[in-house]
Amino acid sequence: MQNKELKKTSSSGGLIEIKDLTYTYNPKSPFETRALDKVSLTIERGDFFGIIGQTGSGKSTLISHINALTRVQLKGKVNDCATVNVCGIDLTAKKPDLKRLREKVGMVFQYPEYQLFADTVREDVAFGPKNLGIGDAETDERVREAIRLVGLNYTEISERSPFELSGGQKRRVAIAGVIAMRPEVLILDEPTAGLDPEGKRELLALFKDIQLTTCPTIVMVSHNMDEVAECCNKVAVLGGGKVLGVFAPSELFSKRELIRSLGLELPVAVELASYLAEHGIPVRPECLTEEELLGELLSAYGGGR
Amino acid sequence: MKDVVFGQIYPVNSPVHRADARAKFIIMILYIVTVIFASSFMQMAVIALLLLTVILMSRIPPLKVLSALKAIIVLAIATFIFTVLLNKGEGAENESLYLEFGPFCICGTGLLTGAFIICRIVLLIVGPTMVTLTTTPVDMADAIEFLLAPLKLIKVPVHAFGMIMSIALRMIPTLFEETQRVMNAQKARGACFDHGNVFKRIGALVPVLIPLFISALKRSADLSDAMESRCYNGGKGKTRMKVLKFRVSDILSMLFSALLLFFILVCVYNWWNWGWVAFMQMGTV
Repeated sequence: MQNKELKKTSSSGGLIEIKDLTYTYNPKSPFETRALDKVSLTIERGDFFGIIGQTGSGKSTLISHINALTRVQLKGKVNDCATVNVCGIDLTAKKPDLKRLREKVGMVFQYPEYQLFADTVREDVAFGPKNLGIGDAETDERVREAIRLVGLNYTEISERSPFELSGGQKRRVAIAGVIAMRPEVLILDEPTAGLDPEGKRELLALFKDIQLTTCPTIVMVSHNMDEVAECCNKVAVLGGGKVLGVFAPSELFSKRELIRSLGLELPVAVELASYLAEHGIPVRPECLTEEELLGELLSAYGGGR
Repeated sequence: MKDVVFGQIYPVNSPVHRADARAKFIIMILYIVTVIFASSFMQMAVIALLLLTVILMSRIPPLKVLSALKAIIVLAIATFIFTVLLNKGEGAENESLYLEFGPFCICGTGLLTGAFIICRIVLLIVGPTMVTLTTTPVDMADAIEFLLAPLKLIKVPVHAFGMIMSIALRMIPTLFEETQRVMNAQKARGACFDHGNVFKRIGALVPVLIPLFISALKRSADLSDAMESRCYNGGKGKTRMKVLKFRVSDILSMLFSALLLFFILVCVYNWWNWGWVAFMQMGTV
């Protein structure tokens, strides 16, 4: 215990500080699998932090630790030296203040539209704030703000049933339900899965907007490298329950071998840029996003205009 | 996942696991009849010994098997207490009476009967547990469908039952996962499932149950579409992907179980007045 106290004071400034975290599913049974193996990560305030890796690499287990939906395993000795500190709350404690934690950390699950339940959109979005014990007036204000932030029209939609909305709208309502809690950290688990390209783009723009206005720190798990290149300023690569490295996107996508070995694809813009560069078109091969590539092409060929 | 009642199988490779599910079911039924007929501690001991052999053969840790008893421990203890208290013995002179108060008493016969009933309950639970621990749910459903086949004669839709059972068993882990997911999603929104009185807790489940029902209905609609698009028509002429096959060992073990039942019946009724039966009747209750 004393040891733990010492570490707590010495842990340095990151908003989310994870060190030597290990997690085993079904310990001591034939199904035993180690999902996390001495994972260490620091996420700073203001990061748009990407987490990538193959299915089964431990991404989901890792992010559910941040929200204490998966508790740090204290049985056995594996986590004796572990630190999990989120927004100043020590999650290796026996009874961390979960209510305060969930106020600070919002989590959008994969296919969040499956969590909708209430009769009206307004009630559904208000579920989170109400659970936090926030008064009616402020809840109402937060609901309006959240619905506006996700790009929906409050007067049009607030009294409708969430189940009669379109898929994309449902997802926005579900995200509004999390934003209405005004978290400091927003965790997104494959937020664009199953949306059409247009919907994906809109949603990503939305997250960038949210980062600027209400929630400065965002952690996003994704399989889509275009998204990661587009949004994130840091990317952690997970493989076999270990952190294989934390990179800036430009650095990450220059490591082709690593990306390939994870069974992932490079962002389209990167592929295209390097293909063009190889064939003598004057663009930098390390362009990451569509916009950058477009800018390069315009400056190379559009000079006359 | 470990809390799911049905997916109990303990996946190791052993002769017991490999045995045909129908054989296991038939053996289980014979076994239950045998245990119920057994009337002396000596007979119980024989059955227990054979059961122990099966447990050892299955390579399942015996403690894991015994943990099935946790569920019925209250029932067993209550049964024991009432049997002991309410059993007055046969009023024989050599009855050892330990305590008497009002309509209750504690006497030798009562204690013996109580102990015997506990043995019977333990054997009745552990035996069938061995079936669920060594058989996949799908095999079990197939076996039940096979055993109900005679009901087809009186126009019971046995195949439909079997299909329903297989689908239900298949969906239990899925629904369980789904529940977990929705619960987590609502917990992340600050919902609390373990606080407050009963009504509050039931109320707290609404945000879980509604999404769960919606997705279950959607799943079943999808599944029926998928079955229909593959021309499922309710079992007429349907062949099996995994054909259950009785092997020599299965037949031998079923015969052995039948033999055990016969042996115990002989021990109980002693139709031919054989002398050695007295030995097997030691500790008759």
